[in-house]
Amino acid sequence: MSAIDAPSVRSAAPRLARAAVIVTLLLLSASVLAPDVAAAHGISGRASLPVPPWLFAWAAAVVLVVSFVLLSTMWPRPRLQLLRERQICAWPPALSAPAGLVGMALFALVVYAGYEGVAYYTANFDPTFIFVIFWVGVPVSTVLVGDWFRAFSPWRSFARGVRWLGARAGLRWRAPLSYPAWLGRWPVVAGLVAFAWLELIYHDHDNPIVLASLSLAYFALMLLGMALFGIEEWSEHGDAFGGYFGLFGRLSCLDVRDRMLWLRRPLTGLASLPEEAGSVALVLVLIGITTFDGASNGVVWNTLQPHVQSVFMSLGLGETPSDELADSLGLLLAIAVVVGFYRVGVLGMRSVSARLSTRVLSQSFAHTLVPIAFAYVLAHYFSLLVWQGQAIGYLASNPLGHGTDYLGTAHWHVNYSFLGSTAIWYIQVVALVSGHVSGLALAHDRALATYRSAPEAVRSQYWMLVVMVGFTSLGLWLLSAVNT
Amino acid sequence: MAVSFHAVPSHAPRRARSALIAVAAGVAVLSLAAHLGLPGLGEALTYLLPATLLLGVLATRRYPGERALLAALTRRPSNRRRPQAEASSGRARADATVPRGGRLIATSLAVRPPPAARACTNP
Repeated sequence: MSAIDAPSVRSAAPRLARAAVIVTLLLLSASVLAPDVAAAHGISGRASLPVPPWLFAWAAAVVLVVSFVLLSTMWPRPRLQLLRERQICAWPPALSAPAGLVGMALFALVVYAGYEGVAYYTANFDPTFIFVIFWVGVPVSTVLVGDWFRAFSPWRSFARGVRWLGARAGLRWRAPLSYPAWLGRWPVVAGLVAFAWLELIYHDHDNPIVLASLSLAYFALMLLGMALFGIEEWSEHGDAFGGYFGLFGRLSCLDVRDRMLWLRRPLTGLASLPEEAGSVALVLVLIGITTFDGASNGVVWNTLQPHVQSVFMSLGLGETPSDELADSLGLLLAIAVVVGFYRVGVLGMRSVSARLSTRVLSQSFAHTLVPIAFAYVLAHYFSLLVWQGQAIGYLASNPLGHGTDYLGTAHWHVNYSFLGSTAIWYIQVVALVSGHVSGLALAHDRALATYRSAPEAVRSQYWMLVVMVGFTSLGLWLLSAVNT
Repeated sequence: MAVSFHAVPSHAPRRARSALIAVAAGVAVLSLAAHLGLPGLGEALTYLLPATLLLGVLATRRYPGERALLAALTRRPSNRRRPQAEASSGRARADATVPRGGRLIATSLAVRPPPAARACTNP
């Protein structure tokens, strides 16, 4: 018979915490029993659902609790800590040159269409290509087939081409600086926040000329970084998009490395995620960006935002800068909420065993958030991808909006009946729940490898369960708010 | 089979405790804000209710179902190991009693053969 010598916790629980929790629960119960007027809104206005949308969040919580129980009882040893993979076939190195040329040609098209095309965002190639295909389509395809962007990256391919030409001419360039360890992945974080600000906050974000100019500036910045720190080093740590797609590429079962195509066990690619500076922030920022995108379309932020904006206007700022500042504050707030969720989980795990510091725990379990970040991206942008993504069909034939028909597809149009709102809602729910169950499995596996005893490992995972349930509920609320 | 677990020490640092109080207070403030008229927030709290309930239980340092989970977790590998252990001991017995090949011939022809256990093992 099992005997658990757990300490008596009732007496140890601080009275203040207990009182705060009781008050919170009472207020929450009141909120549920007497929902406000806006509770009538939600995705049910667009999608035909058999039950209220918040019930999906509760059902998702049940699914996660059941998954937690199954993992705790049927997964007694770590299985995902080692990269288990096998070679499928050799990967021809000759493919890298054409891939790079394609990447550079697409980049040239973006710049050309930005400067020479019409300034209307639905008729120009750039907004759809950058915000739908590049920002959403590439990560989704990366999870399916591996990190293919690395081969197509225009700045990396250009730098490699220049290096190859220089070597043929007898010129060799050595990076004068070694990449500092303290900088870690922070340049990727900064780049992603900047891109999110451009997409979600900047008032002129869909102006093709602005997009082309910023693309060129980013290209130049990448070349500078690669010249200073080396092509591969900077591509890994300094390229925001390379880092973003590479992170999601670890979710894939396929990987190209050492001129070989590898097939690996699902989720094992994430367990080997390097624990370096900024890696936790990278994942949290990715979730925070999507959270803000969802919240900015919801009723809460749309009620609060004008008040915040009026505060900035009262300080003497114009309407547009005040609007952008208010949204910037919202973006930071969304990231802070996500950081807070994870912080609660880490502090909870820390309360289980004082042997591991919060810093170590935060780093060790950061990879468990990657499936959640992808689930957020997929769920939030799925409708954008399947609807607006179709526009690239006719924009490819008429990239400048001048009436050309290079590929014979200029007459194509977006078919909105391709997938209904209800089907999209269900896909979003499945994506969110699957992502969080994957995160839970990764966390459970890491806990078994990290903690010395089974009780500690199981207790720590109660806290990660809170994090996962919280993120799932938040994600579903945001999705329902978007469809209001 | 008796299974005993190590006691999980109660090492709740003050920082962790105060952070949990802060979170609970934050949710309380949000609840109040919802009832004071910020639309949509009540709905958000409805969505977040399962996570908040779970957090509330854990904040009081209770882990519901922990005993059953640990019992199941430790029972499972021992059930699996048993057939493996039996199989390995069975193989060892067969090795000890049945010399094979050249050793079988040598043992049969010897006037005073070595003990069976030594005859079946490799030097």
